[in-house]
Amino acid sequence: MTPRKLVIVGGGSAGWMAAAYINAALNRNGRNVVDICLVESPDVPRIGVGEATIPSINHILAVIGIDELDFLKRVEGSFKQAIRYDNWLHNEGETYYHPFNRYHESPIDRTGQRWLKSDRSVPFAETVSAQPQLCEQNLAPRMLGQWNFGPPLTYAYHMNALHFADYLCEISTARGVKHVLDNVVDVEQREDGSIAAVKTQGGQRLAGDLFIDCTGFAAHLIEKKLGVDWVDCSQWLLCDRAVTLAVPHDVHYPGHVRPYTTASALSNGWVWQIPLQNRRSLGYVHSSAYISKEDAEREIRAFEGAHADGLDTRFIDFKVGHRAKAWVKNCIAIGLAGNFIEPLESTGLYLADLASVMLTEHFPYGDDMDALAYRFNRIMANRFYEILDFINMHYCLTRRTDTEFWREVQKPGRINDRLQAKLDFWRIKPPSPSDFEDQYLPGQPLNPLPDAGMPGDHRPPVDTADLFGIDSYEAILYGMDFLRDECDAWYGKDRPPTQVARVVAERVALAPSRLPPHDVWLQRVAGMRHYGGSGQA
Amino acid sequence: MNATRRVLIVGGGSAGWMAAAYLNAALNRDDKTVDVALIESPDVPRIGVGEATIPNINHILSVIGIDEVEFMRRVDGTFKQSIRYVNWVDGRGDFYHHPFSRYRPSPIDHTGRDWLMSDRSIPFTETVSAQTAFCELGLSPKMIGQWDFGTPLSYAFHMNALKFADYLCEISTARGVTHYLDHVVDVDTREDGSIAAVQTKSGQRLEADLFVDCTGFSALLMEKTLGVDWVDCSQWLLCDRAITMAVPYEHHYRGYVRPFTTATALSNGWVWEIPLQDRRSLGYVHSSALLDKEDAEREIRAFEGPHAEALDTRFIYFKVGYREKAWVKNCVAIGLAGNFIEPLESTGLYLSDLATVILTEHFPHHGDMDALAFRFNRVMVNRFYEILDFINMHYCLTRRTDTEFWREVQKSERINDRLKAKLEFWRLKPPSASDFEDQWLPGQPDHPLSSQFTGDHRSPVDTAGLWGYESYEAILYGMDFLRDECDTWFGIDRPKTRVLPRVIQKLQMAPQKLVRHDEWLHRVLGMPRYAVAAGARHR
Repeated sequence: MTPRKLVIVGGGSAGWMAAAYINAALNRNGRNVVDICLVESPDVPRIGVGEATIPSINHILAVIGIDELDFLKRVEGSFKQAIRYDNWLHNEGETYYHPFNRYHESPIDRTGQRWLKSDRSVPFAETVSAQPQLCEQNLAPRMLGQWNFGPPLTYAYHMNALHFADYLCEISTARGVKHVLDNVVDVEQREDGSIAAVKTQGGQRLAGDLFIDCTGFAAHLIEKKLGVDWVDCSQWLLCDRAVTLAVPHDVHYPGHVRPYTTASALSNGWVWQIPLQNRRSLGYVHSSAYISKEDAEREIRAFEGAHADGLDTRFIDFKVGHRAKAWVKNCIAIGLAGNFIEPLESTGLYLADLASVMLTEHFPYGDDMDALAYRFNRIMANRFYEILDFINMHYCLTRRTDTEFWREVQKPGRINDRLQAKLDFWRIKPPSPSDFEDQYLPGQPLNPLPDAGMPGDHRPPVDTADLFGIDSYEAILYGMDFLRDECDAWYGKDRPPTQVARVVAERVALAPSRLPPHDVWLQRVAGMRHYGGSGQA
Repeated sequence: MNATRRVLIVGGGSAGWMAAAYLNAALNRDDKTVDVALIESPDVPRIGVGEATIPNINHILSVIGIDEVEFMRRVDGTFKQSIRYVNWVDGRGDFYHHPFSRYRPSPIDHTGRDWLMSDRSIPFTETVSAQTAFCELGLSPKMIGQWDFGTPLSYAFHMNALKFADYLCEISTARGVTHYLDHVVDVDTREDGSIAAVQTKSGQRLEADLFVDCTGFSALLMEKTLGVDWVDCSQWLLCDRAITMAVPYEHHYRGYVRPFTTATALSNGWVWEIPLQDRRSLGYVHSSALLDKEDAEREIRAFEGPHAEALDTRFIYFKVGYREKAWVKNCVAIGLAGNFIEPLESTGLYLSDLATVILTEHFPHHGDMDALAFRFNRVMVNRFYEILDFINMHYCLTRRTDTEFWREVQKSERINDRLKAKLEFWRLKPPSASDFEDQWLPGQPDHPLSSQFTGDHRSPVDTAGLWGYESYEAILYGMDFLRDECDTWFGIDRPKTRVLPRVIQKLQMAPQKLVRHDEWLHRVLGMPRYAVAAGARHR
């Protein structure tokens, strides 16, 4: 077989992840199935903030064949075991966790049901997972020596996404991916509308069988050339801007590195805190319609404290939505050119990952790509709307009424129909495993996917819970005190105290003798510098 | 707290008693939420043949709290690790296995693609599963002592379904399930059409909040009382009758007990062989339109051999299809009253299991049932069509042309549209994991579910709740799928098929770890040692 020619336009983390992954997954066992060329502009700055991931990143690293320690050292990486949500429910200092790991009872998991029948004196996640407590104590999910602490703890990473792109670039080019540093000035189309080549400022003509558009929101190929529409989803997620801030540990080190991402609700959105080895990255995700730049900046500085005064901030604009079709003709949009959902559940890199994984599974060895594109688009749309529902749910269950923003997110017009059907159903019967088979629940309307004038898929997306299943839904729903009034009606107000699963309590009790503080692990194993004593507040 | 809900199960076959035992165990665990009663007629004989299961049976046993050894002793049980399909491809002695356990190499499982790029000199499942060879060697999936052979092997059981029902009856009644041996003569409905009570021959009136119709194809409540239609699916699966036979080991014992179910294709269908501790159960599943009773009987006797001449045979009639809604008002159909698919993949008990499990999840503890019923019906119908596709595929990929039956099953109109879309897509791109996310593939029509009752206008979705790519690969590649496509894609001269190193290691260690299946049954369960029949093939 002659190798297929793949041209990736754009070299952010999406572009380099696609290059490294597709090269590793398809050119295995000495075969040369695909020749990859990545062209990136020397002028366009990469968008890169401290980035949080979800455990699917481990699949990407494994396929590319990246050693975890090497990776952690190169990307200023730290571990992430959970997301901690602060002030989402009442703005009274309340907190809940969405941990990556939880315990299930066998043969039937009744932990959710049992918590609902209890007095809720212990948060739900803490009854089924040791990770919230491990997080509160800032413990690493790994031991310093050989692991002997039962089933491994699931984790992902925090990392510097710019370093990650550089690292993947280095790996890919060493393995034969061609790297062109040049500006794309023209795109050449064939008669059938497919892309034949891109031309660069330096006079090169890069021809290919397949093109990946990783040019971010600019979408040079998929939108500017092929005219594929963007489907706006800002009706359900109001935030469209972030103001970011990096706090080097040199300027201010809190005395520990949190092994989790923190998402604290503020007046008009929420702020992320992502700890790296050398700094903490913060970003206040907010709605530009509800808060001005000045107020947003003031708020994030006040959130961080007086030591933030001398630090620079930067604004990032974004739009929630997806390309009507991410794969059209021989062009596939990956990364922001394809879709964007705000980073509340750290799904940014995930959606780029997924696109690379799906493209690998559906790689066109011949020129007839329509059926493959159809299926790729379907999976990406399924997953996009799955994430949209889930993030939407974090907002709409709030009981905050302190600002217009928080009053607005609870309105019916801000809750998408499919999520509404789920919540209505769960007010009749609490969530249970089979709800997540296709999540087609009573009262759910049949809005087809947009077809944008292209032959395609008129069926509504199906939520098959490939990313967020019952574990995740229970964590958020019960973290947000869902079914409070219903449980009073069903089970009475006088309910027994909440019990923690025995295996969880045992694990929490043993943890301090097994797991080192997160920063100690990073210092001893991953070469993090010492910034002062660990374990302090 | 809620008032206790009353459930009345009508019918006491394996579906009825499984529902009784499971609902009682699952819903009364932390606190008592349901009173379960079961009424069965003393007159209606149970339909029961040697029955094969799939591994989900272990969930049922575990929830009810049944000890495995005790269970196997009570139901004449044996282990099942696979189904072996004989003569399905060309009818000239070909065979392949669909094993329960296989490896899925990580981080990407390329085993299917690697096999397609090879010369197919080793059958696909043998490259990814040691279980296929364990079956051929007649080994038990469990050790005599403590298991120390790596990841446990998945298995299910063969059992006597009548004895299973009796056993569940004993367990259930001991735990407080009320058992009425009486004949239902009338059903009282309320004004809204829901069922209020059943009246019995002895003059009792049994009320309940929820009724479970386990009366088999007669569907006493669901069809006769509530008038819910049966949706016929015989267009895609032609078989509608079976002739069964039991071969007691005292009469003829081959000297081994196969740790798998055998499904051998015959002239107009296929015959199951299910080994129990005391006998083998056989059944020739065939199409009554294409084969008459006499010929079917002749054929199954010839298949078994001369020692079958004196044995009794029995005919069973069935119809492939499902109740348009299995849950209507306050009545839920479980077992044959709800659906039936021929037993090629041993899904009969599974569909009853599933209905019971899903009913437990959607149990109407309080208030309105409509939303719960909608969702129950949706899950059941998704799974029904998933199984229908899968069984349909076993037939339509055949290359047999020796009888009208085998020529017929390959015809376009005998392949359902959704399966056709799958096969067409896989002729472009071999099956891979993400195809099984919703299996909504190009060209698949969007026929909504029929909706005589308010409800579901969306077509069923195959979410691979039961069968993922592993099972599809086993059947597709067992049936030599993509033979010509691979010649085109990868050339005719391809490298030798390779077996995963882990499979080879397992096979090398197996003789020190696993005993023969019959030996395990003798030593652990006390199965008698039968004299081997003269002339029987001993292995």
